[in-house]
Amino acid sequence: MFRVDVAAQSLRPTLFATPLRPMAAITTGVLSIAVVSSWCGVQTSDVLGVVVAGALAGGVALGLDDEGNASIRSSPTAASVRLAHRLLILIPALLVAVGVLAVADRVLFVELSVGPSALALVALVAGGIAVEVWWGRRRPETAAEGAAVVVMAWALSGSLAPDVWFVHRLAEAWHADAPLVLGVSIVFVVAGVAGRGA
Amino acid sequence: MTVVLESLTSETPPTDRSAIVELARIESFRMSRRVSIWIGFALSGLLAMTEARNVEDWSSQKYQSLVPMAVLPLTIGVYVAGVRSGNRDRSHRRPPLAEEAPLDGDARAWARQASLLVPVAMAVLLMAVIGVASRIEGGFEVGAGLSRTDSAVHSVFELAQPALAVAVIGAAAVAIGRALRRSGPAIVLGMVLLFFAVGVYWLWNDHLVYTTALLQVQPMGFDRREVIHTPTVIFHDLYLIGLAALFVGLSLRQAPRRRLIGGSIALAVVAVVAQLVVSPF
Repeated sequence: MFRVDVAAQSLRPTLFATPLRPMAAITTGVLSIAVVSSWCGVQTSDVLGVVVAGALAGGVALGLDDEGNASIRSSPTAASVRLAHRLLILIPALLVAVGVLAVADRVLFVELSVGPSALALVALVAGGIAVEVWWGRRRPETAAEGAAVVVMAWALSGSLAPDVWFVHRLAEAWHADAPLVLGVSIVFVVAGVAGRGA
Repeated sequence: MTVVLESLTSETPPTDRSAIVELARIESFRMSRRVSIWIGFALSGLLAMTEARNVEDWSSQKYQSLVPMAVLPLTIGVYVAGVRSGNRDRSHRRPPLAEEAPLDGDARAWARQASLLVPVAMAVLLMAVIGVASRIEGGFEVGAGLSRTDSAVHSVFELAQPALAVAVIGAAAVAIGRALRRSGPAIVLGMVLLFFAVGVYWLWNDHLVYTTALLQVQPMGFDRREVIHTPTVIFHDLYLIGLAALFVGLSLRQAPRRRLIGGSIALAVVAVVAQLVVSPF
């Protein structure tokens, strides 16, 4: 009971400190694009589903922006605990965003878009977190923005990367080899936060 | 003995132009060191080569897709660089610009807008290579039936569009960066929008929409024929110049903000109307 209380108490400040506005802004922006597209009679395509997945993964990365890092670095909280707390808040926010966009897709378009699988989205999000963790070790002030740009660029690179086999394979790895990307990302995240203070 | 009293509320002296030019030089150097621009430029070059080697699925495909696909990575790189450059004095991570700073926010915005000449020059270089290479190779296949040709090449006005589009995107990015404290969501959403506006270029070739597209892709269908109409392209170039000036105006806070915004909107509207008047589409 005491442990649950402590966990709840330590989650509350994290809830206020975690920026949820980027996720809200991105969801609203994508929703606006979808509404305008449906007015123009545009059918959603697989490619746009991929881009939206990148934007949502970018929203999670931006939500991990840790402004208080410098001031509480000396506190006894472990980096892994802070990351877990932030993810406890950000993952439900991601699920809400996915739900809203799925409903909008159903309402606005005649044909449902065939986007990447749920596992691919999870792999992309995990990849973004891994980039953020390792980037944040050197330059925490730019880690969130950097990780968001990297996942967005990775999502787009399937369409942008030249048709050279290894480049294309790497560009599409997050949905073609999602379990592998997810596993590698988890290993990198754990290795990046293990034994570190806040 | 005379005592000269200076008013404490005197107006700020106008910024020396040579100071802005000097700052623009420094900003251009910083812009040329931005990784996102170089990644975009490298990917643009690679995509141009792979697009040029692709076998066409339908007539006119290569003519239509080569330019927008080649410039897409560069536009994304310029957008990221522009937002980060414009956000430097506004970011929630950095202290605000001091009031006693020798150059105010507008002077810095001018310098950052001027630094966009670096990516614009990259786009010009890319388009020059595409223009020269396609002429050496003998041109592209365009159209079908009687209007078919194997030697169509992009005109100078068509090749100018990507460079102007890069200027528009860069100017918009600097304005957005200056307006927002947190640039992250703007960067992510901008990348989605750019992919939608440039990557899915065929969506903007429809009736009326082609006049306001970021990249107007020719040839367009008219009376069961495919036509490359140069006067429409020229007026579309003027429209893009108007848009670029509009975003430069929006990035400022003081004069000539209003004049620039008013003039650029007028130019863009005239250019759109002119396209509708001259265009056969």
